[in-house]
Amino acid sequence: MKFSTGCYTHTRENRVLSLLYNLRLLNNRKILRMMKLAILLTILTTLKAWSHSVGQTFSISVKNAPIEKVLAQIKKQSDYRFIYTREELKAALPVTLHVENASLAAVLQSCFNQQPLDYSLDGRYIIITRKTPASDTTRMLPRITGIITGPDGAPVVGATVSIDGSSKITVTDEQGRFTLESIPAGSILLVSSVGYEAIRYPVAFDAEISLRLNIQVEELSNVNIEVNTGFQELPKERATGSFTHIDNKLLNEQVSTDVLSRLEHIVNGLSVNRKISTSGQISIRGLSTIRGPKDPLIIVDNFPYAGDLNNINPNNIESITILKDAAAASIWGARAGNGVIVITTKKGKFNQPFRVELNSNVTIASKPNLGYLKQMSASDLIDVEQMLFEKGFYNNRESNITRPPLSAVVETLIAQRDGLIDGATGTARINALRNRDVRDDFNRLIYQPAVNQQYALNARGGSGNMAYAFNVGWDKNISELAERYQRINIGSDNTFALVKNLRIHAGIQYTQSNTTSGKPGYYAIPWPGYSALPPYTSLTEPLYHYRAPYIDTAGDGKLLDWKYYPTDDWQHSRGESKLQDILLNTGISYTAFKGLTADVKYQFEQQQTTGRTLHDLESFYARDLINTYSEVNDGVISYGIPRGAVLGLSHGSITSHNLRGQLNFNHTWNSHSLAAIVGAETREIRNSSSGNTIYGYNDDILTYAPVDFVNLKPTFITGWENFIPDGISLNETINRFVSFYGNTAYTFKERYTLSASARRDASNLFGVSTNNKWRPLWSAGASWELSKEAFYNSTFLPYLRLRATHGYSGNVDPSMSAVTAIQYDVTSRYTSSPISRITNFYNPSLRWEKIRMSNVGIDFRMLGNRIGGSIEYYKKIGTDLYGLEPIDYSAGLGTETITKNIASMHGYGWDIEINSINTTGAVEWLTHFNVNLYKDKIIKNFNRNQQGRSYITGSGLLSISGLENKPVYSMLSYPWAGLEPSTGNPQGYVNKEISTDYNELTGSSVTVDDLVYSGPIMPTIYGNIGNTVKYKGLSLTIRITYKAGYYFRRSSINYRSLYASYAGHAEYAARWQKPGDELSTHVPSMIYPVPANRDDFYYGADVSVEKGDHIRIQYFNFSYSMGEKLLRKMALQNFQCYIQSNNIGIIWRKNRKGIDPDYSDNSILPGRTISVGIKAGF
Amino acid sequence: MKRVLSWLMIGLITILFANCKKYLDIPSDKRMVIISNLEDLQSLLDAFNQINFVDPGAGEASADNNFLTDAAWQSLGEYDRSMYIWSDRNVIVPYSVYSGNIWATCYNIIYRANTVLFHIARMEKTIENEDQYNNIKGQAHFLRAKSYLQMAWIWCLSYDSTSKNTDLGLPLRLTPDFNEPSTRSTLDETYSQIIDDFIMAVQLLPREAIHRIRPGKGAAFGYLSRCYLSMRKYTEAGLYADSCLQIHSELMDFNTDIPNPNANYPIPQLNAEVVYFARMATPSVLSYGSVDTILYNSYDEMDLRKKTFFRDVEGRKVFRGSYNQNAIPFTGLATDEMYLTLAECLVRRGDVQLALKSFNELMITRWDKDDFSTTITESPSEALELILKERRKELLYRDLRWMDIKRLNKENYNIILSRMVNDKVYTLAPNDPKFALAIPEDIISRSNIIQNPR
Repeated sequence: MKFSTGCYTHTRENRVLSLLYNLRLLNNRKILRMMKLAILLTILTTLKAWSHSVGQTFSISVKNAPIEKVLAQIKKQSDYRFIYTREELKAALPVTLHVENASLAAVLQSCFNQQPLDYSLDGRYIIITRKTPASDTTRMLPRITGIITGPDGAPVVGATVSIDGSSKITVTDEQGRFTLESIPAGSILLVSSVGYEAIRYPVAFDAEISLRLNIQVEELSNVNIEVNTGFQELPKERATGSFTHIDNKLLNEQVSTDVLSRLEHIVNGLSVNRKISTSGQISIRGLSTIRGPKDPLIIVDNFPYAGDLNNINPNNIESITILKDAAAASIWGARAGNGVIVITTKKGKFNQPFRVELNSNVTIASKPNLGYLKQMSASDLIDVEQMLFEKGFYNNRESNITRPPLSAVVETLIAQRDGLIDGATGTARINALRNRDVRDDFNRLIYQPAVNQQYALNARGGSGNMAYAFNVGWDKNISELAERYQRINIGSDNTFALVKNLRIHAGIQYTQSNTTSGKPGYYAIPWPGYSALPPYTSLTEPLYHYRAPYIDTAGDGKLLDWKYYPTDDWQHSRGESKLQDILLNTGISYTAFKGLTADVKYQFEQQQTTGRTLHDLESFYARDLINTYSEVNDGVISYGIPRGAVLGLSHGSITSHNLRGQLNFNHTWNSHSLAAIVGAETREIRNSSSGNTIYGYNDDILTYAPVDFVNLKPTFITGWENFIPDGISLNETINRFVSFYGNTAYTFKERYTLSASARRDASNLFGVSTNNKWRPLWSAGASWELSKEAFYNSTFLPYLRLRATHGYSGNVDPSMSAVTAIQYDVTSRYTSSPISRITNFYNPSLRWEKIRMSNVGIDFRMLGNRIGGSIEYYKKIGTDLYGLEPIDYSAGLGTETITKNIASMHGYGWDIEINSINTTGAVEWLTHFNVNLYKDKIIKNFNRNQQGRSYITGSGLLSISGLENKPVYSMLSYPWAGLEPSTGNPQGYVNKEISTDYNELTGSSVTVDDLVYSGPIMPTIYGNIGNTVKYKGLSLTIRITYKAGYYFRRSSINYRSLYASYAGHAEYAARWQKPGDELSTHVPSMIYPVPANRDDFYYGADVSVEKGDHIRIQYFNFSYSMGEKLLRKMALQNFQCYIQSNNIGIIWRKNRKGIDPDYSDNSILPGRTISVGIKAGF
Repeated sequence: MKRVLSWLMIGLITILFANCKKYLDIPSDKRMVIISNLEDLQSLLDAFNQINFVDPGAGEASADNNFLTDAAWQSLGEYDRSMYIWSDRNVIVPYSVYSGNIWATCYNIIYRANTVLFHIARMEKTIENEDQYNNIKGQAHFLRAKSYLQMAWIWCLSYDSTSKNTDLGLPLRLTPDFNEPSTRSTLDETYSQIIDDFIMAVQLLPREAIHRIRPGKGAAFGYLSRCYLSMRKYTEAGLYADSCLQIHSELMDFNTDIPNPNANYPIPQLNAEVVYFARMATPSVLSYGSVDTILYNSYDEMDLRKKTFFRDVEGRKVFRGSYNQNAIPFTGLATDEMYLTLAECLVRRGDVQLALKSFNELMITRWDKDDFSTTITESPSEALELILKERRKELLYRDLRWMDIKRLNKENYNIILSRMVNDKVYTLAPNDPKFALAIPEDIISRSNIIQNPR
């Protein structure tokens, strides 16, 4: 304790200082006032808490008082707790005591002096035991003694030892010993202790009992799991809905800076799709919407989190509950249709000893494997360029007055043609490029191993009238592209019981993060007009953004250097973004009478982001812009944009207010128990952003130069006149919600539970008519704990519970509106009047999406509780779903589709979760197994055109196929008829006849009925298996994930893109070149010019469809936890060191092309990571 | 305490309920507004990027001012290649595949105009706002008519009073309701609508707009003249050209008003001749094309336009004479066109001398002043031939030539278009049905409107 005391004070000062420092940055007075209050409360609490641990004294004056009174006094003046049974205290004599500023030892000494009782001290616990054995009875064992140890043989202190069916109870002392007297022979001894499995032991005539407790396997402790819906906490046993609870331990098997990325591999029913959104679309139980927002609602400590989710430090998370069905989610109303993720942060508890936890780790991620990319070889590309050059393909570009850049090969060919170099020199120059591979340069000069560091400290504790927790976290990441990210989290959370029945809660969480931009990656080096760099590019040589011969002579040397330096430029164009987020939570809770509590909770969050991009004068960006607006007349240069850096500034803020009033009723009488809540809440989120650009900036002395944005300026290369971009942007949105809700659960005889919930939401969504604003959502459910029935006596399934729910949740897209609305943009430079565009069209029937969901489940435990789990079946029907209705674009809306509530879909699936203890004893082997089956289909969709082309799905980001009676994301393709033997042209079918008329093949004569349906694009089977093997303090967990029953489309060569933008593909090498090749390849021949639809047809044909099934080892975690004895010696609560590796790799895949089906084909896969770290508790 | 808290709860809920309506009434996006006043309507019409900068260039690309080398043609996209050789189909890119579907951009302007007309009819006209009210309403009528006119030139046959009731016109959409089905009107109905709208615009617009990016009365007169010219109603065309010139008659003198004749783009933007400023969404056929060699050679060496309009690129001549001062062709209305239209109409009426007066007024500004001699002739046919020749030389790349070919072929001028690509010759005979381009195939399949006969 001495150690932690010292450390404590130190931290406190720092913490307060840095909070105050950061406060200065916020100028909102309201926030300031609230923060002051929160800080004051925080400081008061913490000060009060500390005062105990520092030399505690007591003043007690009693005369002939019962001993309980003295104990109560001690309790009141400190946070020491007593452990005793009332039985034992009955024997106590009245106490007379007078002490002033006495030490605890002195008080206890004089108090227990004359008593038949003894006491011992363990940390903050004072254990009272009987001093001497009492007399014995016949048929009774006069006294039994024993020792309780843990699996490692170390004594377990404070374990409760009791006799089944009697009130005799005691706790073990410091040596793990206990004594019980007057025990009838044959009684059952019950031993339990927090963190250990309880055991039953029949007492025989052994005078000395030695029992060993096993560490409790938390996965199986379903009984104690409380599910947190964000509105209330319920024991899982009484909840009828579908929840997945992720505890701290499972969550911490992985190491990451953010929270959400850890969920993908461990949560039952949750999947992440990187083809719907490159950053990964999280979905819970598949899709609930077709066009609407697909993100689940994320709740952090009772309220939706408005800021950036990366602000949340995973080390500060206690547990996560995922609400999967309507009963669970309907309480969150119109935004819960996609499921809800409730994140609960670490909190202090009343009467909890003070604990400090420390976690520190370092993660190293390897460089990405660029060899995975299907890049065309340099030599192949050069051949293509030479062919195109001969056909005059580059003539247009060569004479183009905007001077688009040409590749080194084309420039050489031009020089050769124009006689500037001789043929031999040209050929030699080109041949020198043939063996290059730009990926080598990227590997050598750009990519580096990523290094992430993480340090986190949590402290919590509580006395009788207060509970406190605080956390400090520091993260520092350097990405594989040298991007830097730094995050600091500081927070505290306190609850006070001010007077009887009244509790006040105050929490504050402050996050600050800084991001600094890094190098451009493989796909990010700009080369205007082209989508990829030629593979023979050398990154050590300058890159031309305009034609090289032009740049070399333009402006008679008066202009700034106009070349781009790929490896240096990033150092001169640095983007920096700073984020500050402050989250304040306050609440008051009053217990009016037993069972009825009234709560008012308020949360305020403000996130401020400031972005700053400085392009100094050496950056290509600044040089290019300055040159563009320069004029050289008679050798004299004049600048439209002054020489100097270009500074882009942006500012964004998100402010949210949440207010909730809630009545909670919890009462149990006879065999009835009722838990009900009713409440109302309002929520406002205000989002604003602004940006501008400063020219001629000098970062050293903060000067800038005015620029004429109003008049047209000639541009250097073409002479065309243009306006200098002012870079100004302004945005502000406000979303407001008002909701009323209620939820009740009634349990009879602890086995029959009925539940119901209802909610009404309204929002200020633009123009949604009032009827639709107030949309009621409800759910009902029931559960039956079959194994509690008298007739149930299965030994095979000792625990069995059935449950079912049915209800509605909703989904709403705040950007959709039902009236014609215009949005103002910039001001016209010609008329100085504002310009607007129509963003929403009169669409009177627009309403919120409705998702009806049913869930039935079985919870069970078997084989002596060694196997436990749940099996659930769900079905959801989404109606009124947003769909895009294609319209005759002669309507002129500027879009070819409009949103309507026209679609409906049906989804169903199974969620199976099983935990098992495979072996016990010295080597423990545990398995955590998740299987999810999921299928969906569109029941109804718009009556869109039947042209086959509209249903072809690509290999990039997916669009919805939208075909009725098929999955929402379906793989549909043109039927493939092989390559034409004489030409190598891809062939398809028009009216069942083989055809190479690509306009027909991709036009209206091939309808959706002619397409081949392969299957769904979303996995229909997915899940994960975690296996943990423990031996002594060592523990190894390996998690395997798998996905199956789905299809994806491979990337392929597109000749049009190859010619126009260098987007080549490695499969070019396998193309058809001569008759006979069609037998061994399906890659079409190269022709020039190529009809646009030839590429499209080949790409959309079923020959490029692959099965997605695969199994991968996602991560392993190997840890060593220090044994009790050693911990004791080092005065530690716990100590663990671990090594963890993530993204380990695919171990089996169905496709033979080595493609990772989880990622868009040809994208850069994340590198494998290795983390090492320690965790310690004091 | 218990009671206090209960009251507090009740109070809170009451306040919530009472303020709900107000609380939820604020707009969710500050920049987003429901149209409620004249400024909102004007802002829709001031979006120059969508209104002034998207004139279709399909007509000019299909006409005979421009040609492509084989290499250039081969390097273009499929739809551009089709457009160049007057294909039966796939001339306009589908909306969903690429941007730049001109059917959609033209109808977008019409939709904006319809939205303005729909809302302005529901706003009160007062003494204070009358001018603004009329101005905005006039602009909407003007833009609707202008878009329909440009579309009619591309997708309809040339107006012919003998077949006007059977020839296919455009789907006429006159309200912002997107649920209305599209059906093709007759050509007569289309032109009647255009004329009605321009006449409304003439009545409502101010004499001169605050900026030439907005139409004034002069612009409306000018476009009305264009419309009648394309209908071969020369009396009206001449009349309205004259009306336009009553308001805007200034001409640039190429001898003095071109600041730097050697510049890439020597003619100033928004120069004295511009009545209404608009430019083309340039099709690739034009941006990669060169000027027809015969046309180029027809310019006299003393004609200042020869060096002002053209630039030499590897032996080919490229047009640079846009009034937009960049490579994007100017397609708005300028006084030079009005002088020529007036001259043509006068000579067709038989008033040769008056016609030549107008003609010479323009020509003197285009010719080297030391070399200029006034054109004199008594012969109406000779005068007409002269005027039409200069019309082509003056108004190239203005998106007028396609219309001129179509109307002149109706008068037996027998202009045969012909293009050679990779040794293959494509021709377009006078009055060929393909003078009405194929409507985008995707709009045909969506709306079931009738495709132009091939």
